[in-house]
Amino acid sequence: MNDTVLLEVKDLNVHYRVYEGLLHVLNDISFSLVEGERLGLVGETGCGKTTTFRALLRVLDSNATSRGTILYKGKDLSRISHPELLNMRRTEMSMIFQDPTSSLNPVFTVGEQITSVIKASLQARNVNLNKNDVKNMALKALSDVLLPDPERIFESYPFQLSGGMRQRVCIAMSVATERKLLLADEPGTSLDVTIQDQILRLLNNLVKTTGMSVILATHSLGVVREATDRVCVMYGGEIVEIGPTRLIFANPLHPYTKALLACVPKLTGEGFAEGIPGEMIGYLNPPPGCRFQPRCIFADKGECSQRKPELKIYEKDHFVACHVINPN
Amino acid sequence: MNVPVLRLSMLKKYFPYKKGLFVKAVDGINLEIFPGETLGLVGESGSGKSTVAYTVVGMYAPTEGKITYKGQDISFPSKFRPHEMKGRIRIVFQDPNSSLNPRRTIRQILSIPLKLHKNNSNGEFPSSPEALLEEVGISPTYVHRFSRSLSGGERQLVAIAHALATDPDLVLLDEPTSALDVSIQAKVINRLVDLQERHRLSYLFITHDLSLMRNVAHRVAIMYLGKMCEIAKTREFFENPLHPYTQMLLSSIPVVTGEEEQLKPKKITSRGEIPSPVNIPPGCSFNLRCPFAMDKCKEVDPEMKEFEAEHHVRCHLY
Repeated sequence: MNDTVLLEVKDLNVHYRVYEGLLHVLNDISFSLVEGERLGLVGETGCGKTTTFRALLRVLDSNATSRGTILYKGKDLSRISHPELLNMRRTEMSMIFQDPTSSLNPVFTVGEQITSVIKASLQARNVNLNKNDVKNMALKALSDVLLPDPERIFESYPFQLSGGMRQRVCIAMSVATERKLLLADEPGTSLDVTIQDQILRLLNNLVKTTGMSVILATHSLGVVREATDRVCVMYGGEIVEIGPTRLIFANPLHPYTKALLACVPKLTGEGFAEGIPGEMIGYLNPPPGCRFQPRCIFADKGECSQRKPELKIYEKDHFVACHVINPN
Repeated sequence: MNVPVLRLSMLKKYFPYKKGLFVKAVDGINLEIFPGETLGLVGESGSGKSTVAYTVVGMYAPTEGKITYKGQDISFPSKFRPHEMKGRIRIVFQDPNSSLNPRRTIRQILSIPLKLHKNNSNGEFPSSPEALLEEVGISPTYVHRFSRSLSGGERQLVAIAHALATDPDLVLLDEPTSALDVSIQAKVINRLVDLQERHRLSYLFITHDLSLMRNVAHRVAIMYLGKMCEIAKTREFFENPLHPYTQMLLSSIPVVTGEEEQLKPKKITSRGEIPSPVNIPPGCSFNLRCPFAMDKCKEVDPEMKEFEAEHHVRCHLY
């Protein structure tokens, strides 16, 4: 890992227009990623993890509007032209979607789908390879993700594979050609723990051997602890805490991070907290000020409900957005 | 110890697949649940844990074996069971979105079991939809609402209230919190534990989350391809896991503290995945993924053995 900044997101806002009005989902998200880093986005359902990814790749739904700058290698992704964007998706970054079943096309074989990805990527790089070489690349990608018998997988349709194998096919597709940035949206959530463990080890190995960067979105704090270097904790479309994984788990600062960690059942059998009171905010009328304030037990009526807390530095590399926490 | 609420002996459930072939979803299971106890049934998807619950509640007729409820034989589907029995054993499904009727209000949903089983109530148990909602910790004013206007956690609590409406002894919880976030899961689980204490309920808690089981269950059973691998008291189970599959499961759990990391077995890493239940490998069904597999494992299916008091394991290593 060196210190070259690969991706920098500044004040990203995403709104969705729906029948009832405007959903204010992402609210001034800012983070950066250096080359070879594994960053985790963690938060509960509906906190904006997938929306962030979609905004990065510019694949938001048609009713969404986004504002803010996304600098990738110094280039603003929200301003580049469509051909340039396509080029970017074909050569620079790729995404693993949450549900492998719906992200694979059911009427084409795995082989057809993975070779078309490779062909597009090679075309964008102006590399000419014959059919056989492309097929070999595909087979290599399939065996890289530890799929047994890649020849047979190459010929099969997605429905002939199990969930774990489908997810590995999706990973193979996204890393078949060299990429700089991998966006992994809950890659292990729909899988059993033993398979999830294998997938995470696989991603770690890929990062080590190819030096690419990964952003991993998940709701599982355990997964984040084992598979990332740095974590962004998200709540209600805002980043509430960001810092090195080790520091966040050793010394969680934000009341939400603390409450969330307390809710996770532990293997030591010490029981778990009562849960977080209240429910996720509605994005139609988000509370002014801190979005976690209605559920926060430390919130005071004044500042917390009126002014949005900024990310403040607490210790080296460890930032928190909360009025109650005071930097020492 | 007292009479078990539920006893399964050599329970089998096969589903016909193709000519002469069967999916052996449940293949000879023995277990007992005692009053006031939570038995955690853990396994990967496809291991047959839900089929066990569905057979117990009478959605399927067992292929072979016996289900006894307090000594009474109930090894047949629910339509042949006495009406009273249907109120004794209840089930909560994984997804409350599909188990609650979207076109009925909460009152309508909850009043059906109350009406059908009103003779069973012993007077102390809540006998109106409002009281039931209060029992599970939801505002009684919700009776007029539809399930779609409730949050995920509240919907699951309504499904729990629906199961409790008949004052049951045994509730089968089929992954009741795996569709929920951890902060909501904590609320629902705490409520379930509280209800168990107050009404002396027995739970068969089906899940794939072992760290949850560590905090909730009294005993834990592991299933793999329709068979039991290991069953023990929770503490025993986590401090001294015997079966290689249990160790593999424990070592793959992502944990959040360093202390937990210490508890994970070190010598084993997960590999392979669960084979299809149509052609189960001969011998021990786990031998393809087991790092300690011997020649014997490929030929002879091990028997369930008592390793120490109340700790049973089905493996040739012991």
